[in-house]
Parts: sequence; structure tokens; C-alpha cells
Amino acid sequence: MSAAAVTPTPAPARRRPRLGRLLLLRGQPRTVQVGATIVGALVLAAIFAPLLAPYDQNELDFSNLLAAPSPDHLFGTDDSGRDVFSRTLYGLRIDLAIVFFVTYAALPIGVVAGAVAGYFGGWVDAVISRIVDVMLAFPFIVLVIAIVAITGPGVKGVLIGVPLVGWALYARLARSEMLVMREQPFMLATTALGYSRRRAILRHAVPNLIRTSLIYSTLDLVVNLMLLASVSYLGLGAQPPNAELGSVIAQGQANLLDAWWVATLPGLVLVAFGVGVGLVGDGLSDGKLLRRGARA
Amino acid sequence: MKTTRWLTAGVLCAALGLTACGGSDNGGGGDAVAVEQIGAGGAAKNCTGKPVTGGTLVYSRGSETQSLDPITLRNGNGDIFATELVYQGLVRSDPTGKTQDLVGGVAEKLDVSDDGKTYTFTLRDGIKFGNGDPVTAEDVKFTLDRFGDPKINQVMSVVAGGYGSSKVVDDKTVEVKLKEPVASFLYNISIFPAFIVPKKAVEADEKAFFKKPYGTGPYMVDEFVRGSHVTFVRNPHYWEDGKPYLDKIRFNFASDSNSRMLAVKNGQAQIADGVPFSQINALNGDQKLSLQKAEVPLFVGMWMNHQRKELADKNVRQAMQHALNREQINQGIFRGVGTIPNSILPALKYDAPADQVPPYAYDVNKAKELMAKSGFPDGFSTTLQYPAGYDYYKQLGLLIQQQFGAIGIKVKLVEQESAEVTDRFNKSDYDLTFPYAQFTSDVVVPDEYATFVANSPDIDNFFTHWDSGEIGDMVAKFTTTPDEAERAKLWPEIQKAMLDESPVINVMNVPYVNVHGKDVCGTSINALGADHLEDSWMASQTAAKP
Amino acid sequence: MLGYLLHRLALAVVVLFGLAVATFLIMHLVPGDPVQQTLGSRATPESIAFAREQLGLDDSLLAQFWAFVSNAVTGDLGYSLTLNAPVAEVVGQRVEPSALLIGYALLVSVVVGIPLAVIAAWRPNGVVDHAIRLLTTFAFAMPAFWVGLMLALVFGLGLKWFPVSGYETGIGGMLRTLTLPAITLGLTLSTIVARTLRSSLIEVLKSEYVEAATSRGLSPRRVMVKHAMRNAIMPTLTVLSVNLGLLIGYSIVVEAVFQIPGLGSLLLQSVQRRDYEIVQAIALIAGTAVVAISLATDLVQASIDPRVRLGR
Repeated sequence: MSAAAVTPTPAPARRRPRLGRLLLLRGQPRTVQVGATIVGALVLAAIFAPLLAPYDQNELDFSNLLAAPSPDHLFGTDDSGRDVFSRTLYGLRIDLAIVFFVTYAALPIGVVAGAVAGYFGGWVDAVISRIVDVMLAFPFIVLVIAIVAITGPGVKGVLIGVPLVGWALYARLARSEMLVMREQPFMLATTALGYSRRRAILRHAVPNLIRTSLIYSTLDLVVNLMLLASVSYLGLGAQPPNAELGSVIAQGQANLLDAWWVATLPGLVLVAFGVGVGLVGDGLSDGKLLRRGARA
Repeated sequence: MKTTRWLTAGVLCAALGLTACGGSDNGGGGDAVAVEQIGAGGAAKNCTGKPVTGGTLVYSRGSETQSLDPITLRNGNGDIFATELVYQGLVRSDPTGKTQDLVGGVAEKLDVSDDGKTYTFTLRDGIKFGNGDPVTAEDVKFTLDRFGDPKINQVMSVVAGGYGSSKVVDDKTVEVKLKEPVASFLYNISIFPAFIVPKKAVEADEKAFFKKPYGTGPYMVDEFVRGSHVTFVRNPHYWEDGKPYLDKIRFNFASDSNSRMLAVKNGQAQIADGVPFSQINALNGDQKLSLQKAEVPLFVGMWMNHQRKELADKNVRQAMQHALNREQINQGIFRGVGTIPNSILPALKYDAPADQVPPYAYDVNKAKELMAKSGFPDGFSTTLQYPAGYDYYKQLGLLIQQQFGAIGIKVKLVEQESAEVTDRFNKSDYDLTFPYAQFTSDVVVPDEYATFVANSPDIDNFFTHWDSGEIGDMVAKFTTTPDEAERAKLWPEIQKAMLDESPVINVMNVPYVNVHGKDVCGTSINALGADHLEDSWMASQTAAKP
Repeated sequence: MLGYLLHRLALAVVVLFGLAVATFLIMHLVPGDPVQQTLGSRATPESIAFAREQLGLDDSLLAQFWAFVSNAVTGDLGYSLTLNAPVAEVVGQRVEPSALLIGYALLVSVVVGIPLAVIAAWRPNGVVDHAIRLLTTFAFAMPAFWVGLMLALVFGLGLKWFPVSGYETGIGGMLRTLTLPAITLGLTLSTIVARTLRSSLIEVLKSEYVEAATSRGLSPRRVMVKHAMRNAIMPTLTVLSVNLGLLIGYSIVVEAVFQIPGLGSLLLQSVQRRDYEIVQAIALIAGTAVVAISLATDLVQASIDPRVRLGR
């Protein structure tokens, strides 16, 4: 029993995930539909930010500092008179691009590494697993700060740092699944049929492993979004003048008492995205997602 | 023939009868203005009547204290302001902050030889360290020798330049020999690396002593917890009668400005430093608080690398000066608390006032004319580096980008972690830069900065690679002229010539802004911005005592 | 079992060594001279050269690494230039707040997470279950620094129950200063605990022996407490241990929000000031904590469930 909780149940072994059906939301649980709608709306807003934003995100207006939300400025203005709504849209654009990139750049690498480790076992497994262990034991923030110090502040710290560590999570996930899967008839059959190991892993194992990882990745998206916001909060975020949600919030924090909107409204957008993604992932995994935890 | 100065009478220059020396009567831009209230609701209403003894003051501070050894400074003002409570130099910067002059400290009398190379100090009668031991000439010699040894005085070794040796004449008299005349010598030993420490205790166990040190200052360290707080208790042997008033002072470290403001608002602390400019208006509206600003040699210095041919062109540099809309910068970013500079350096002693050396006016047409005259009439592209984590640098970058853009200079903003900004600066790897998160002078006289910028070939004139020519010679003369009156005449000429050349740009003089609860009285800040809490008292103590 | 123990210990040492190499290399690849950084612009070249020599910074990287490792083994973590004190002393002062904060946060996550899980598992897919699921989704999507800020505003500034920032020692001081930070930090984890335990409970409640217990006439409460919980608690412990790394990461942010003088704030500051010695020491301590806890969890599991140790 206890082992089963950390060793993911093997994915249904025959099919690849049906992306088409997922996108159309047909036959999906209501939570998925609601979540996907929220995520979809935010993604569209991010993509079309240049069209939707009423102001230039960096336009300073010193005659209009910390103005409360109004029809002119839906989210008010910040302490440099910039339009918070426009900055939120642009910030969302950067954030989502980064978060999707770092999450899905790490995923395939991790799954393949995990599959290889699980398939071959022995010293290959030992080497990969130790690297994974080191990655997961490393205080992540040190890595991000160090990268920032090398590349200069900005999102590069997260862009490089998260995939560098993130793959290890997927590798660990895929490896333990692979350990179970390699004993299953369809995998044993690949050997019997004389398929190359490469084909066995890439064509047969990985597509099956990736489903669990994809579902898990919804959780990772939220974690990475929080990380990105936290890194910005610590002052290591996007290269100014460009907005990034974490930095917009962190900056607004100084004026929280007299201008609540600067930090609060972009924060709500951040939470909305997290909730949307969370609902999708949760629905897809039927509530079993969070149980594995962020670092399963 | 020696010049004798009695330091007990108060202001050193006054005793000498030098008119040019007291900054307060010539009204120059370099005057230290003592603590000034911002806003109408500011005056501390509860502070009427005489100071009362007792009470604890909690001070929420942005930069933490990392070293209590005045000679191994580690964290700028975090260390300096703590050591200023504990120790004193032979002479001190006027603790009231009303002038930029020196007053007596551990020494009460001073003789200077005519060649300006021998200083003889007579110690204050009956002065004692916090543990009750008398201060002797041995302690002074020990301290000054530490100060003069670049292996021990690593951080401020530049300031110790010219120090030769010290000799104990008798128990109360020390004779200091310089290798060459250093006009700013007294100013140099008025700051932390030359604070007098007890020889016996430091020699016995240096590490242990500096964990819980005492000196001749009004307070002694009671507890020092790195990263959290340092607490001070009254020095029972302090030499000024009746002072200090407070029983206890606690510095709480909080690097996040929001935490500091909240701490004062909910009464957890009575003073917080580093009020963010964007919060000035909001805090001003709070009747329970008062904002105070202190003019200090803090400035927004934009350094220029003259290895870039565009920036080596004087017309370009002057065009930049005229293109800066400082009024807008001051109102927009600094909420009006800044001062428009008439110098390329921070506001320092001997500075001529604005009617004698006028600041650059905001004049886009003039700037465009200068650009047309320059070697780059079509403009050029450049970069501006600045440290991350400071909102006002971010905003400033944006405004400068806009304002320089108007005269054809395209500025690319490069935000870097502050360690990286400084590192690149030290390697001359920059075009334009705000090299330090906090850019201040350590002494109130211009000697340090003028030498850095105009007469330091070994650091390429403070990494500007500026060809200072004649101005370098003027600075050399200024820094070796011991006569105060002569120096006061020389400096404005240098100030003017440097401003005309503008090898670097001072964008704005910026004060320290602190927020106080209304209960705190008598807080003075010296001309270097260090708090002198020996005069502070708590109004609530009046009520507590019948 | 002994063989397994030795095997796991050896692996842990390998991981820690890898961690030391990685930290050392990263910190030395980062541009920025620590001496120049610390001593500033008022130091003469002579002073700087002397300080570099004192720190051994002019030695080869290999020699520096060897010095670091050989000293670290004997417990000597080096000397911090930026703080002018031995690293062991500085780090030692900072361990307590961080360890207490993380421990307290774990406690919060269990105290909040377990009741939520039990209530949710009572009627799976009921209204309460859905409400809790939505609540945890929300809680998980809120950035830690944001939650901390809100708590400080409401309970610190508004109600004045707790100070808004800082740290005090002693039981009372700790409760006063660490409660809000621990709630902030524990919130994310409590959602994970609630979800994990809920699904484990549901699985266990469906299992045959629980059905047997129920059919024997035991009350549902007794079944939940005596049988279901006992079996569901192990996966929860595993999740807690697995998430320790995340918790350490977030603690840096929470320490920044509440200005707690712990390892996180020291780490952040030391990286920015290029204090190699301190960064290495903290990375090693954090890594050791993660490795040790996961080792302990594995060993507990292995001792309960022999399949685990045979499987590897």
C-alpha cells in the first residue's frame, strides 16, 4: 500500500492521450471545462495583449500617480502613473510564455531520461538517478540567483534554471513508472519482435509515460508560476521596463495601504490562472493529482 | 609656530575665528541642514519641555549591522550607524548636524604644525571607556596605527593615505606625524576607521571584544544577533553630563521597506529609516507619524566611461546635462525631497551656493544645439547600467531614456544585480552607469571624491578614464593646502570647472528620509547622516514619571 | 536490511558530494569579485591583495575546492569575508529560526490538512468534498509572499495579534513571531496533505478489510480512526518528506516577507555579495537535510514493506 502511493499507477497501456478530445472539452468533467475556459481566456488575453492593452505598458504619467481603478484605468495606476491593467496583460504574456516554456521544455527531457533509466536499470539507472537526486537536493533558488548573476537579471534565471532542475522531477516520475511498465506484456513484446531499444523506448514506452507527466505538468505549471512570481518578488525577475506579474505585485506591495489595487488586481489574475490550471489537472486525474505533491 | 585649536569650545572653526570655514553663514549649497520635517503634520507635538531620562527606543533599519569593529566595515551604514553610537574619534563631525564642521571628541585640544605634517592631540580630561577604564594616549596610538595599516584597515585604506606614525608624548598627549600634508586629515580621522578602541581589550581577545564592544560613545553594545538585531545600553561613564537619555536602543534589521513602515505604524518600532519615496505622501497623511529628512552627501551619480568616444565629447556631456528635466525627476520620483545639484559631486563642505555656481538648466533646445556642435550631430546609442532592486533607479532609467531620447541619444537600460554593476564598473565595462546602490561620500569635505574623479590615475579617475588635465592639478593643490580659508577659496573654482566639464553627472542630491512615531524627540543626524541618539528621549517617559 | 542501509548511506554521500561540486562550480563561475565587493572602492590595491591572499582566492580552483572539502569534513566551514566571522558561527546563529519555521510549517500543514482530508473523504464527491477541493486549488494557486503579506496586514497591522515582522527567541517569542510565517509556508503544503490523505483514505475505505470491519459492526468513526487513518498516514509522511525541498525553497521567500533572520535570508544576501563560503555551507546544509529526510523516510518504508528494499 505505502509503496503504491509513491509509485504511480501505470498508465493505460494502449493509447496515446487524445489531445483533440481534450481541446474540445467534450465529455470532460465540469471542473475541466471550467478550468479550461479560465485558462483559455487568460491565454487569449495574453496573446492579444498588444491589441487589448489600452496603454503602453511603460508609459509614465507623473500627473496621475496611484489613481484608483476607473473606466480610464481599469486596474488603476502605479506609483509611476503606469496603467496597471496594461502592465498586467503584458505581464501575463511574459509569464505564461515563460511558464509554458520552462514546464514543457523540461518534460520531454525528463520523461526520456526517466524511461532510459527505468528501461536499462543497472549503472545507467544509477548515474541518472544520482544526478536527479543532486538536482532535487539543490536549493533551487541558489541556482536561479547564480544564473541571474551570470546572465544579468531578467527572466533568464528562470528560463534556464527551471528546466535545468525541472526535468529531474519528470525523470523520477517516468523512471518509477517505467520500472513497472517494462515488465508488461506489450513492452516484453517489443523485445520479442526484435525492435531496437531506441524504438522500444521512444515509440512505445514514452508515449505511455508522457500521459502521467502531462497531467502532472498542470501542477508543475502552477508551481513554476509561483516560483517565477517569487523570484520576481526577490528582485530577480523580468528586465525592466517590461512588466512581469510578480514584479508588478512586488512593486505595488509598497503602496498596499494607500493603493491596494496595484498589488491586488494583478495578484487575482495570477490566482485565477493557477486555479484554472489546477481545475483542469485535477479533473483529468480525478482528484488524484495533488496527492503526489509538487516534488513527487 | 603652531596653530592651537581648543576643541572644547564647540565648533572647531569658530574657535579659530575662520569665517570661511563655518558653512552656515555663507548659505552655500553644501550646508548640512539639520533634521527637517517634511509636511505640515510633521512637528513632533509631544516633544515640549525638557528631555527626560529613561525608556527604550526601537529603530527599524534597512541595512543590517554585520560588523561592530569600526575598522572592518562590512555593510555600509548598517555598520557605521551602530559604531557611531558606541565609539568616538579624536574629533567628531558636529553631532547636531547643524554644520558640517568638526567638534571635539576624545581629544579636547589640538596643535597643528605650520607645515601641516604634525598633529598633537590632548585628550579630554577624565574621559573613560564604557567599562570605566580611562582613555590613554596608548589607546589612541594603538587605534591610529591600526587605521594606518592597510592590512588591518582594508576597507578605508584610501582615507588613511599620508598617515605616518603616532608617538605617545605622555598619558594624555599623542603626536601624529604625516608623510605629507593631508588637508582633510582631521575629517578623515573623524569617521569610523579611526574611532578610538581600548587597546588592552582588543589585544586580549579581538573577536570577543567586537561581539560586545564599548568605546567612549553614549551607548555600549548589549547584544548582537546577526541578521536580527543589536541592542545598546547606556554607557554609564559617558562624558557629556546627563546624556544619554534613553536606557536602551534596539536596532531591528528589516531589509524590506514595507516591513519597516508597517513596524512603525503598528508601534513595534519608533523610528524606521529608508522611507521609499513613493510612500512619502501616504505617510505624511498619518497623524501619528512624522517624516524627517536629513541632507547628507548622498547623490544619484551617473558615471560616464570616457573610453567611449561619444562620452569623451564635452558637448555631448553638456547636452546631457541640459536634457535632464531634474524638476520632473524630483517631483515624479523623489516626491520633491531631492535637491537640484550645482556640482558633479554630492553636496559637500565649501560648495558655493547656486547663485555663484548655477546648476544646468533644463533646456532641450540648448541641448540640441550642443549635440549639433558635437562630433555626433545625429545622436548615438548607448547603455545605462543600474542596480536591480531599487524602484527609483528603475523609474529614473525610464525617465532618462525618455529625456535623452529627445536629443537623439538612444539609451538601452541594463538592469544588473548590484554586485555585477559594481564589478563591471570596476572593470570599466560600461557606458553610463549608476555604479552603487547608495552613492555617498564618507567625509563632508570634497577631498575624497575630488581626488577619486580628477586625480587618481591608478583607478583611471574613478573608472571614468577622464582626462582631467588642469583640474587634476587644481585638486592636488586643494587637497594639500592645510589652510582652511585658502581651501574654501579654492574649492568653488574646482566645483565650477568640474561642473563645466561634467566628466560625470550628478542627477540629484537626495536626503535620507526617516519616519518617526510622535513620541520620539531630539533625534539629530550629523552631516554624514549618522544618527546621534545621545540627545534623543521619549515623550511618553514624561507621563511615566510624576 | 543492514545491506540496504549501507547502500542508501553510500548513495547519500555520493549525492552530497555532487551537490558540493555543483555549488562550488556555480559560485566560482559567477562573475563578481568577492573581495572587491566587500571592501569597496576605498580600499587600496595593497589591502585587496592582502585580503585575497588571506582567503586563498589566488589558488587554483582545484586547490580551493580541496581546501573547502577537506575542511568541511572536519566541521570547519571556512571564514566569511563579508560578515567577518567564522561561517560555522554565522550559519549556526541562523539555523534555529529556519528549522523552527519549517518544523512549525510542517505542523500547520498536518493540523490543517488532516481534518480537511477526513471531512472530504467522509462523503467523497459530496458538496463538502467539492468545496474543500476548490478551496485547496485556490490555496495552492496563491503565491506564498502574497499570502504572507495579507496575513501580516490583517493579523499584524489590523488586529495587532502578531508583530508584522522580525523574530524573537523563547517559546512565547517564537509563537508570536513565527505563527504567521508558518501559516504562510504551511498553507501550500497543507493543500497537498489534504489531497493526498483524502485519496488514500478513500482507497483504504473501499478496501476489503475496512468493509470487513464495517460489517463487523464497528462505527464509521472507529473505522476511520483505527483502520483507515493508520494505513493512510504513511503516504502522507512520504509526501511531506518529498516536499521538504520545495518547503526550503519557499522558506527563503517567507523569510524575506517576514524579515526572519534565518538561513534563507542569509543565503540570498550571501549570493548577492558573492560570499562563496556561506553559500556553499548553506547549500550543503539544505541538501543534507533533504537527503537525510528522504533517506529516513525510505528506511521507515523499507522496514515496514520489504518489497521496497528488494525492488531496488
